Amino acid sequence: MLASIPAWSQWVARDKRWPPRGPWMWSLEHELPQLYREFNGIDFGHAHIAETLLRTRDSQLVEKARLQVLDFIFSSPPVPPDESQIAPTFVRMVWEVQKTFHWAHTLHRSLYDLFATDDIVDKETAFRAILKNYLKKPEAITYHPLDHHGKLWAWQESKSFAQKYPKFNTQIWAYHWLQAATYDVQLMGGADVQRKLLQRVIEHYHGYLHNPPTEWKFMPMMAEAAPEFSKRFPEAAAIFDNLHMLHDNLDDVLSSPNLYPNLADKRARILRILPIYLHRNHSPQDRYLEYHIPAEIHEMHRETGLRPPSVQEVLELEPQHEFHKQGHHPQTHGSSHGSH
Amino acid sequence: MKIRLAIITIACVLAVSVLPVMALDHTNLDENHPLQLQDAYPVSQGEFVVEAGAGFALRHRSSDHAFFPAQFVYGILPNTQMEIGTNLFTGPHDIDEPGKSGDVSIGALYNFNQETLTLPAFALKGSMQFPTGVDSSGIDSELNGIITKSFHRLSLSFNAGYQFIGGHNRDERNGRYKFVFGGGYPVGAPMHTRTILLSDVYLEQASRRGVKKAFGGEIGLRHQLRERLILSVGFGSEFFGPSGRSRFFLNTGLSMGF
Repeated sequence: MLASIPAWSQWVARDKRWPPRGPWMWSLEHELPQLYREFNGIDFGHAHIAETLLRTRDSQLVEKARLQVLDFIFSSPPVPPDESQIAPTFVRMVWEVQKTFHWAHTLHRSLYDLFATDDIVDKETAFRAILKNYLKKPEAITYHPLDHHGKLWAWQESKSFAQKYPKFNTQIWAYHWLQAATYDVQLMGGADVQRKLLQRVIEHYHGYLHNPPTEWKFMPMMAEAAPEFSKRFPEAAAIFDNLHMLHDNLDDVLSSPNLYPNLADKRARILRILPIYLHRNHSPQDRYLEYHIPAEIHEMHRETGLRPPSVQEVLELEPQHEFHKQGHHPQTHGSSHGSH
Repeated sequence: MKIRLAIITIACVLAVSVLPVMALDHTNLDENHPLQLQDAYPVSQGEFVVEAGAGFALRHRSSDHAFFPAQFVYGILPNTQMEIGTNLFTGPHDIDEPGKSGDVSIGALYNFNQETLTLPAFALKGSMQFPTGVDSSGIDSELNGIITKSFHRLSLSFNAGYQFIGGHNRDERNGRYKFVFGGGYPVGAPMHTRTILLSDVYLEQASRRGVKKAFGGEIGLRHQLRERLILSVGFGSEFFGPSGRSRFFLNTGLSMGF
């Protein structure tokens, strides 16, 4: 347990923050209620797997937890769940990470709100204000593209969650695909257009939930699922890619009890990883330089097997619900996409 | 008549709660919303919360009364909330304890830390009550130390407070203590986290010398109706204490974040 760690080293400020205020607030809930409920379900998914992995190594219990997440998502939850009640051990073990997640998820929600409202014409200026507010806080994740496929995926524990629980892992990647894909849909038109298009995107996402895309060998990148958003708002895209990679890193730590057998070991390992993501400047002679994408390497060109489609590709397909249920998903190959 | 008014108001509170209004952190406990128990956590920085309610108390050998608390809370700084509030009573001339009907109170709660698996969360709360109400005199002030420690999903808090009574008479103390201990548990977690079941016990020194301390218990819940709207209901009784103690009291309220 944590008793072996000095109490002072666990002292951490709470620092809970309300989303930045603006005319965009709560637009997602009003304009895109179906998507709002999907995102509430995703919030449950992350917390539940973290707590489950702290409690058990039994693959049947992990599979049971995965199915509980699906039940929760398909219950179309009307309010965001309370993560501190879903994962009380995880949240108190590493509050430092929890507040990083909370703040990044707040950024996600603020941007969905912004792009969901028809009341703001100059979205670019509002985006800059929201991003600036986000980056002011110490728990903000860096907007520098990091080396997800390389250094951040090559630690001793890396890939352990994906290898042990491929269905749960790709189910989580499916959440991230929806979160990314939504942004490009939001750039395609006003709230009416978004509502209409998102029905098909959510249907496609539900196909992934029914049959997790285990053929994916790496998490969906923002530039794959939402190339237009990534081109126009590269800082936000980098933050969300980093956020999703941090989720993967934590799941790897939590599913490696041989390397990190107790809570103190897990906490220590996670707190060694977290600063890489929070370090903001990343100048050439800076700390954690090795975790940057080298300029000559385009991350998306690395061989990562079958890759998730862009939202444009999904929308160009005819609606084929049964097709998804049979476990077939439109794919593209990793080397065919662009780069950062 | 007074109790009927309170019941009508409570019915209104419950009716409003089913409307599609906006809503917040339903595990965050503030005094009288719905129990006397407070936890060590403030609202989020930048968050506004309006808390309003209605209730009534049936008392031993003393007149019954209805009450209508209202409070405005703002997360003014990191880990710090400011509060301003009041409580209106029916039969205001019958209120014989500090905290008269219409007194305005201003307070601040500072949270020192987030609890971890071994460390509790600590907070300090200070407040001042101004004699703006009926039959009120002197400024009362209060200091409260708050500790919150959770065991898996069961969250326990302990409040130790001391009230300095400004406008005390000769037969009254110039200060009194109050202790509250209790906790909350999310019913149905992890699949369901919208409802927190609450309970506490408290011991409060009487303001009048030679009068017994009040010892009571409460049970309640806070239910998240919408993302930023919470319904709270609590009831309880003072088991031992002065002759005018409450046989039964009920408190309902809504908290809205925006």
